[in-house]
Amino acid sequence: MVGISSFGGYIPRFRLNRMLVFGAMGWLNPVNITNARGEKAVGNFDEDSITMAVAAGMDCMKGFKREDIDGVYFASTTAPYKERQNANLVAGALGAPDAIRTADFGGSLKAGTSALLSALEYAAANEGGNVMVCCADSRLGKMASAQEMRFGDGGAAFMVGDEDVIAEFKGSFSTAYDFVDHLRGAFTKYDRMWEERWIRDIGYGQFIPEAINGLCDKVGLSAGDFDKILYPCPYGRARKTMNAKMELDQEKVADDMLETVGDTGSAQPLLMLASALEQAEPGEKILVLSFGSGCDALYFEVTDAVKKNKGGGGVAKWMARRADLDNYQKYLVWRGIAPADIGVRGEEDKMTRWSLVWRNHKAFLGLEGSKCKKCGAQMFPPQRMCANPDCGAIDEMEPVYLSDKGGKIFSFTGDMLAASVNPPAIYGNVAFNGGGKNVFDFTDCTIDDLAVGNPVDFTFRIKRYDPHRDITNYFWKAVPAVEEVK
Amino acid sequence: MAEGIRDKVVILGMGCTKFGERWDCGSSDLLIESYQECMEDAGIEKKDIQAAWIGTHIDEVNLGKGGTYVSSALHLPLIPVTRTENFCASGTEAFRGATYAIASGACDIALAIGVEKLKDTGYGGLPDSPAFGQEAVMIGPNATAPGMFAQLATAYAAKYDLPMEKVKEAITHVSWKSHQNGVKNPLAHLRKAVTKEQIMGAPMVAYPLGLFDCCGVSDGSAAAILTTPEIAKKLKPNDPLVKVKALQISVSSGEEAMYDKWDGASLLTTQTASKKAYEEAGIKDPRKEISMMEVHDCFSITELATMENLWISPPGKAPEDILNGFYDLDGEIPCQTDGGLKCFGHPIGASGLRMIYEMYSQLLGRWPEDRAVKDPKLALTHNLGGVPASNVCSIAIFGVD
Amino acid sequence: MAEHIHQEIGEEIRSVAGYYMVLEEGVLEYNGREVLYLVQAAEVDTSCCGPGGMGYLYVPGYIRSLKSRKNQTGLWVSEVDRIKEQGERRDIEKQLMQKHPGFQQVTFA
Repeated sequence: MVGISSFGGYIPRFRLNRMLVFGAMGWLNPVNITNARGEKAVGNFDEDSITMAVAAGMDCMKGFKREDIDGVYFASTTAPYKERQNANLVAGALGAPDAIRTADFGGSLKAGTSALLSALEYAAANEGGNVMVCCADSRLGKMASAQEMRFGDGGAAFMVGDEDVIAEFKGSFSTAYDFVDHLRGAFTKYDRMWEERWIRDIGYGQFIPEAINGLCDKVGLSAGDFDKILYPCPYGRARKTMNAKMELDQEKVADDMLETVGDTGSAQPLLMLASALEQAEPGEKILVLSFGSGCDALYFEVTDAVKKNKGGGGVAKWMARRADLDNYQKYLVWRGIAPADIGVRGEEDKMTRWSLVWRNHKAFLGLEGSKCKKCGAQMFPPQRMCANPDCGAIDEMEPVYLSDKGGKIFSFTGDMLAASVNPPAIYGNVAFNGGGKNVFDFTDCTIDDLAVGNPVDFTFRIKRYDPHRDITNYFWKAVPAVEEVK
Repeated sequence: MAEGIRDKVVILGMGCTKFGERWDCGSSDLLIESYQECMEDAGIEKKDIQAAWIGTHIDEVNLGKGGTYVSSALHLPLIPVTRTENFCASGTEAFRGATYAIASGACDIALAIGVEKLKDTGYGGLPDSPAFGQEAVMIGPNATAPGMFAQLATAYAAKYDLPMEKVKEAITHVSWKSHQNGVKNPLAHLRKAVTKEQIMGAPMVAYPLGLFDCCGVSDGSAAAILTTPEIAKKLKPNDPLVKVKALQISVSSGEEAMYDKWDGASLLTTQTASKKAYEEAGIKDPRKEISMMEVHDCFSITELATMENLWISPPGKAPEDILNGFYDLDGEIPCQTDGGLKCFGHPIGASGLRMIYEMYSQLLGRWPEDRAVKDPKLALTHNLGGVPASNVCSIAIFGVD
Repeated sequence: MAEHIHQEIGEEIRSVAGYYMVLEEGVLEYNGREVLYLVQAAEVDTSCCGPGGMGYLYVPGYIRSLKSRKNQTGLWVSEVDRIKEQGERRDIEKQLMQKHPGFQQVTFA
């Protein structure tokens, strides 16, 4: 049986209250008050689709070995590169082997389910194969737009295979329509939308029921047979109307998290699926749909194995970590929407040297360090010569991934002088569990959250964006371990 | 068996410019200023100089690489001119080159000169060259020097189980004491006294370091002429002579940064270099035998840790010694008698030599009573560059006998 | 009990790395007591690590007696009680930042 064997979710820590956005921009678009309920999740300045996909992927990987991965599929409509395999960045961060399949999916909000379907097809065609599907979006709307109000940042990940499956894949139905409700050209930054009544009535109103019925016909079930039906639709009333028309039990139609996270684009249906699996019982029939240039509808049945694997706890765990972003302007500067003066030091030009990056790609992407076979010392960055002054052995190292080991704070500071878009810059020396240490930037915390000895986890983040050359570089940062967050 | 260089080298003369925002001067002007005073003090002519070492760190806005700039600026007569660099210890590295040349018998008279012209960057700071290599550019933290040295404070407070307020109290005294000394020094960049309340009311720059716990950028130059004891005796038969008693450098091995023994609250290199320096100088009990010191007070927490790392304050007891006035001008071991980096700022290549200039001048009793150390015998300079987990430390000990 | 010496408003208090100055003095009512605080600005314009600056609020403590005497240099001196308790500090910090939007740093003596 082929299906989902593990799952994970990720939602950034910060929430921007929609009334705060309305308070700032309501003068230009007063009707946006209708969208101003609840809050939207916004990534930190150092987050993007890749980092969120990795976070969801790491969540999903719990209980799996890196060597088990045969493929990594990355789906997003906001990938940082047009040419430089985005999935390889995710694969590198997850520490996946080299001889694997990778692919980027994009083009519409169906990208997430497309990637999931392709992964399921891979598993069906390759016995014992496992594919990681990681999906995240960080879409932007112009200031005062409805999109700005609605969009949220988030990601989800699934391990797809044929062993210890917790949700068996039972069938799918897809449609493809060049229905242009939203679009972004190759060089456009902000989402563009056509008339909402048309999108609601002709788009959602027709395609969602068509896809549900199409799947039901194909697998010989009726809509009422499903325990959970998950589909994205930002129009609350249209949703109610559709549910009534299809005679869907309102209880079974899952919360689309619009008021607590926002519309996470291609990740939306997958995030809802991850959340549903976190609470699922064996035997449940789940129908999940995507909407964007047509629909994908997928049918899963939860197995007994779900009792053993409740996933990484991603969605609920990250929801519990929410913190207020008390400042709309911070969001504008972090997302590059409003130009800000970050000082002469912030403008300094640093070239990326690709031959150096390649030599060090496992250390830079995967936080791979070294462990000395002779004395057992662990160290980062990777060394050929042991750093233990009483050992000094040369070329007796084995590589060790440190990204999921965690560590303890050895020393720290909050720096008001370092050029940062989120001052003070917090960084400190972290002692890895198992030995060795490294000075990391800290993120998603204030200095009051830190004390020497506190446990930290590592998170994959944007290290630096080079605006002259449109290059995003990544590395790991430290974040207080989840239990410690106040 | 190597016997070290104790008593093999004498400082014949020294010079030091006024440190500060020298908008009127380029690197060559600063070099000429310190060179002139140094030559006058030494009482020799240019043709007597047989080799020169330059200490300078930032070439980008300063004098560039190699030895030709200095040789050209001072019109040195086709002699060896070597540029040395080892972060903030560059000044002492230049001194070391000249010292070893004399001690080895390779030449009789050598010049060590340090210079740094930092105020052409266009902003108040060091240019962000990849001083720690390209890998650090890709994965190093978004750090500044205050932040990296501030790490010592949280680690120190945790190790000795001290409330941060106590550490703050001690480092406030360190800064206050230096400013009291700097007021009296005409060469210092900053000569204004500050009260402890003013220091405590200052904003946090990198927790827990505040505005007065950090040094600043400055332009400056300092120089020394070194020679053998025999030649010095001949040229200055009636004057006391300042001899180099020890010169030791220690550079981090990577164990502090990557291995697990380091406590984060101390500088392993300072502990190592000072131990070797005391051995070379024949010093058995530094707390009793050292008369005065100039240490690398780039940040007041560095000075605090250094007092222990020099084996003078016992581990965990530096705050006590500091608050008891042990290191004040009228204390047992006056430290930063000229005001230190706090008052002079830090023209990187010049600082190490400025420290030696102050100790040299004190040993010869050249200063007026209000800032003179009474009856000094042995002086120590401590020059540190890099960050606590990865650095260069040079220790020099001088004496007059 | 501690003393707070009132620096002159607008006077540049210089360090080699920069300077700071007191812009205004204020009082916050909190839990039936009066909290003395100062609105200060700093420019770090000659430090070794880049230019910077901050607007921040500095809290000497609860007022026992405000400007009760002058010291030898002619500056007013007040008697204050330092605020040590973390919960009080957090509350006061929150209220002060609400009262003075744009300020990111509150330091307690």
